[in-house]
Amino acid sequence: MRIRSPLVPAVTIAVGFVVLLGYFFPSLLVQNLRALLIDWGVSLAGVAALVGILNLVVVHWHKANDKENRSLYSLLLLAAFLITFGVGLWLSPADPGFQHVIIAIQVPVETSLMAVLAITLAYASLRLLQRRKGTMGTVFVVSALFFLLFLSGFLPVVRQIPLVGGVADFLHRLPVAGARGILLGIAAGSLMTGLRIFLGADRPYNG
Amino acid sequence: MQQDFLWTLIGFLLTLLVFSYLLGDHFLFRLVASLFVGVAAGYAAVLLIYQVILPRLIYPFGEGGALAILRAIVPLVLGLLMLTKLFPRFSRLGNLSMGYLVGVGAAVLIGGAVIGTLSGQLRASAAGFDLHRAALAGRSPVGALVEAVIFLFGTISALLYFQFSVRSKNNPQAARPPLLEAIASIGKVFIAVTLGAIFAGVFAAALAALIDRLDFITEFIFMLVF
Amino acid sequence: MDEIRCPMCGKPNPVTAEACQHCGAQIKPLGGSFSSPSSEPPLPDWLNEEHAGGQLPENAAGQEGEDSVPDWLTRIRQREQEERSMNELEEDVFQHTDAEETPAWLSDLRGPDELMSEDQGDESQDNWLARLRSSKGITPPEPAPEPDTSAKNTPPESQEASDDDWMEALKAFQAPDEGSWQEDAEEEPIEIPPQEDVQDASFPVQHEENEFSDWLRSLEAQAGFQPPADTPQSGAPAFLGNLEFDGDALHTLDSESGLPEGEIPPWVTAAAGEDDRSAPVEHLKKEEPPDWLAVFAQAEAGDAPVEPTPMGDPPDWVRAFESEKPREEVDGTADELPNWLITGIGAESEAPSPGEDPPKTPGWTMKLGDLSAAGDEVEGSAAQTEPVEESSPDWFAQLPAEAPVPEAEESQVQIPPAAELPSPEKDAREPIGEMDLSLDVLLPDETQPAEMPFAPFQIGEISPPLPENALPFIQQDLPESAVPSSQPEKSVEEDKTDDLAPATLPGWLEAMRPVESLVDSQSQLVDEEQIEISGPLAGLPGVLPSEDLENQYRKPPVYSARLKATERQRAHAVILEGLLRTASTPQTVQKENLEAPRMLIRLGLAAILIFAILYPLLLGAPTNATPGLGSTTELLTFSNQIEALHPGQTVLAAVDYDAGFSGEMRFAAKGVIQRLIQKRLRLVFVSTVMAGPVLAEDLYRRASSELLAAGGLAAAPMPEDKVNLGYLPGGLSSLQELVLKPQQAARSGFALPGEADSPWESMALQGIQHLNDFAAVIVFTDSVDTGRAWIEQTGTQLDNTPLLMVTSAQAGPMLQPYASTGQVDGLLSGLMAGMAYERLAKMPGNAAAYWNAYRYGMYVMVAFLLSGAILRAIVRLLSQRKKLS
Repeated sequence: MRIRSPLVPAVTIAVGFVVLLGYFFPSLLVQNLRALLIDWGVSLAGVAALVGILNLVVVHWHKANDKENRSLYSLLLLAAFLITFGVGLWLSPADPGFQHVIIAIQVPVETSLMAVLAITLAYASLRLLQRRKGTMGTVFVVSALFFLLFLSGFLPVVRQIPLVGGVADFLHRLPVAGARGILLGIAAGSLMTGLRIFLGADRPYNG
Repeated sequence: MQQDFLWTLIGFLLTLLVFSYLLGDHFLFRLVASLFVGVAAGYAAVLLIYQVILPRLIYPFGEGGALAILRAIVPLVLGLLMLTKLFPRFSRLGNLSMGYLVGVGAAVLIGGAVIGTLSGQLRASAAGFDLHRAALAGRSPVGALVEAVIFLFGTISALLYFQFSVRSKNNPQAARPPLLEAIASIGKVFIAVTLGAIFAGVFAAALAALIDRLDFITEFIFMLVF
Repeated sequence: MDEIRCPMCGKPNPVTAEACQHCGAQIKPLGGSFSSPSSEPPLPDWLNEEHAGGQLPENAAGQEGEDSVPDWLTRIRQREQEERSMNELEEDVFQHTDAEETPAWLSDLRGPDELMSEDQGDESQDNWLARLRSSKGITPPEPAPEPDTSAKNTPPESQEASDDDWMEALKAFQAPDEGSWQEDAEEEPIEIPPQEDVQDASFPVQHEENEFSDWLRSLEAQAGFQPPADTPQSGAPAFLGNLEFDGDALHTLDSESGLPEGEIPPWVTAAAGEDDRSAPVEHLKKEEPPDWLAVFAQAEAGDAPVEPTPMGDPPDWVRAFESEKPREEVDGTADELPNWLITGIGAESEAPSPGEDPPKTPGWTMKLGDLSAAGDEVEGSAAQTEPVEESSPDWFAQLPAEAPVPEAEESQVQIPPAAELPSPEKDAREPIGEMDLSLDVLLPDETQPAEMPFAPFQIGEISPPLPENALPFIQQDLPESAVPSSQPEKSVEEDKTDDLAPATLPGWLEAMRPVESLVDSQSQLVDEEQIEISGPLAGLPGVLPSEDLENQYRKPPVYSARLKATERQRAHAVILEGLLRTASTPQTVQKENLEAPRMLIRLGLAAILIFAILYPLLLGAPTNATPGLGSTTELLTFSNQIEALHPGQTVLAAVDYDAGFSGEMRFAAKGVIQRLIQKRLRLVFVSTVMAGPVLAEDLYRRASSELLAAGGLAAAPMPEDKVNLGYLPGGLSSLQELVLKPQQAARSGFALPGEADSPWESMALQGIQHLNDFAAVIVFTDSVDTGRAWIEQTGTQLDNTPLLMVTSAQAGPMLQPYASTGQVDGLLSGLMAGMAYERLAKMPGNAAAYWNAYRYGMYVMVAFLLSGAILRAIVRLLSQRKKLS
């Protein structure tokens, strides 16, 4: 049985405890220490994001150099990366010229993808009831119809109707109940996940 | 100006290529996707270097004082250890940095969940029964009370819907108690309503993006033509 | 032949083997004594050939490899041959002579069981010998003291004196060492010692060569046999004269047996009656005398101690000749005749004349082999024959006792002591009634190979039940420790006391018993004390219980094959079975009723949607009316918050949406930004997403340009009125750091290198030390998580600073609870809210066109949903109708 080093869990728990303690204890020392630890964490987060990007590059590098299944797309990706990285290092991200890279390439592509999503959702709405059966499916479709109508401007018109307006208004606020329940569940799950990390039950850092 | 036209032209072409996906997956679409990923990765790398690495880990050693240097040594060392994650043989050295990051993130997550969501939403569930406030808002107290009860019941039922663990003792069928099952069924309705609203919102967002793109295309064409 | 037949299984074995390689039986006797009659040695080949052709086979033990055949084997064979010849002689005597002329010694001859038995009376033996002496005119030596019953316990040394006398008497019958013993047989009278002086009838018996032939001559005289004319005068008895024998067979009598040359009794050679028989005689002269004769010579020379015999107790083999009981078993007894007796008897029985030199082997020795073939006759007459008198031939009596004779061990044939010979009762054998019976018994079993060692004593049936103590033929020097002494002693006493007492196997016999070796290994499994009470083996001890097995082994218990499972386990099994059933059964995929390809449908829907959008965009709305774009509570609240801000205040604007939502956010956030710019508020942009800083710059640039172009601004905004803090990594952690120490969180701005080093030195951020120093915090986000993060991390720290949020339509429903609780002071979500605020704030823009396009798009979506639902209902109805029909 391989004995795991207790150093990493100890550091994790210690740092987390100090940061969490700062939420409830307004002591200056605790606050300063907490700020310092969080500062280091933010720096590490940046480095972690950079490691992720470098890993992406390495993977596609291997794909591009694979003699059997050489990927043309990986070559293009690496070329785009190198060019953008080089230009960005030269010009800096704040340079208006470099910002065109984002505005002219990234924004159109992503926005166009969102536009295609709209058409896809429209096509999926035709078979919505065919796929989703049962109470939840029916309620879902009815709710989607209702809110699509609300978002298309019917609510202000309906609100002017004496009783229907009230009901419409109530129905417009009805998702809050479900959303609140979902948010509470998310918060409780986050709390449990954090506690499991502090207790050492989960060690996602042992890669 | 020409530079702007060039970039606009690039945008236009890319938009059309992405729209061509409606005809099916093809080589040009994959080309655009690869280009997009490469550019985004390059921009992100540059941004991280300029926004994080240089000001936090490099500049303090040149411009900052001793205190700044001391404050920069720990993240620098931890950052270098994290770089070992790129090499499988030495990836275990980066566990310390990952553990530090996980510890800070978990603490912040717990603090925000407890203080921000749990306390606030629980308070809000109770605030619905403030009939006085509802009257000041011009709402009927009875209506307000009924709405508060419904919202409270909806919140609880939606929260109980996600409770799937049951007792195994004296429970061969592994089923939830009947009362819990009934409440979870009602919570399913509230969740379906919320998901319907979210679905409408997603479509609305996608529709807005479509409108934006169509507007861009028409403007470019008009610019070209006229 | 180079092989020896196993006395038990009959399979060939090498000559040098002492134990059988197949069954483990002892081939070579351990004590050098004769094998028990129960072992039933097979008939040697040379003896079998004699049966066929009346000739001594050349491959007899004497000639077959003189080096391979041990001397003791040769002696045994010779002895067998002689016994067979004796049996044949008896037969001839009884057949061809008057009954009253039957020599006493023949009539006194008994069955093999009686040879082994110890219940032979001394008196009968004495009479037999006495008759021989009187007939020959031989002066018996001084009578020996009365035989002692415990003679076998007498140490050999004390009996040596008597042995010597006895042996000396026999010397008269012995042939000379060198040369023909037949020639010297008549020189000296044979002095037959009294029966008491007879030692244990175990070989080797040594006697002088000359003495041997004399007594035989005397026998011949009594019997009235006349040797043939051409038969050289020898000391062979007359009865043997008519016997024919093959001179060549004499060679087999052996060269290794130790028989000195020329030691063939004259009566033996005289009985041959052939000139050419002198050759074998001469051959024999050159060869060593037979073993059984050599024993006498050695005893005389005192080279080897003679096996002491119980004082006064004649050897069993002698007593065997005094058979008083007819043999019961008939089968195979003929095969039990010793080889030397069988081979010596030829087809013709011709007794040599007394006094004649027996230059050749007497024919009776060869003709003894015929007794095996005529076993039935002999056996049949066995019951009629009179028991052999106690007096046995001297040459029998002079056979040495069981005492080990080291020097002559292999060259002498030994007869086990009488005490060790099994009793007839115990062995379930019948005593030999007559000499012929004894001879028959002594003859080896024909069913067994002829190379079997001499087994002169075969008691009882062919396949008698093997007693416990039954032992095959062993040598004389078998240690007594290997032999159960109790039984022989017991058998001796029993034989003496009761003729019907069960025979006991002598020790040497038991030692030779091969079964013992197997039985011993399994003796632990067999209760020796357990006597079978039923079945064919009733009364036998040490038998494997047969009937008890039925009681011991019962029917095994039948265990139920049914699986024992608890209720819970069964329930789990039911659940698992159901899961497996559902998993294994393929779910039927509903067939799509739409016949058109999916791509066409998708293109059609896209066309409809695009047309619905392009129509208002291209053609424009007829008016700038925006029906349905009314003011809601949330919109008014948000608007009030913005309007509450004063010019010159710093507003923190967090641009946290991705590039893909920039289109929607353009419609939702532009109006807010334009209002903030119009109000001359200082905007500080910050972002927790990577594309945020660039999107923030683009949003600010568009808003300001449109506002300026629309005339909403008198002048372009000042650059210092906008600060971009750039990207904050870490998500929640950076927000917490921004809350705690904004300057530490955003150290560098999103600015060009040539610009100010620190954004906190700009005018926009003057006096800003904490998040609460901002006039308002407006978050532009597209995701619920980002909005929730801002609310959770900064909402608690913002005391008087309103937190406003402009979100995407997809995040609105989930962030609505925060707005209802007051954690978010104002919430705008989606294009509709943005257009509504733009309309409310009277910001320039093409809101009507975009709103109409948006509204038409939503209508199309509603139409699609309803169409799908209606189609589904129609299909369902049609299918139900089909089912009903």
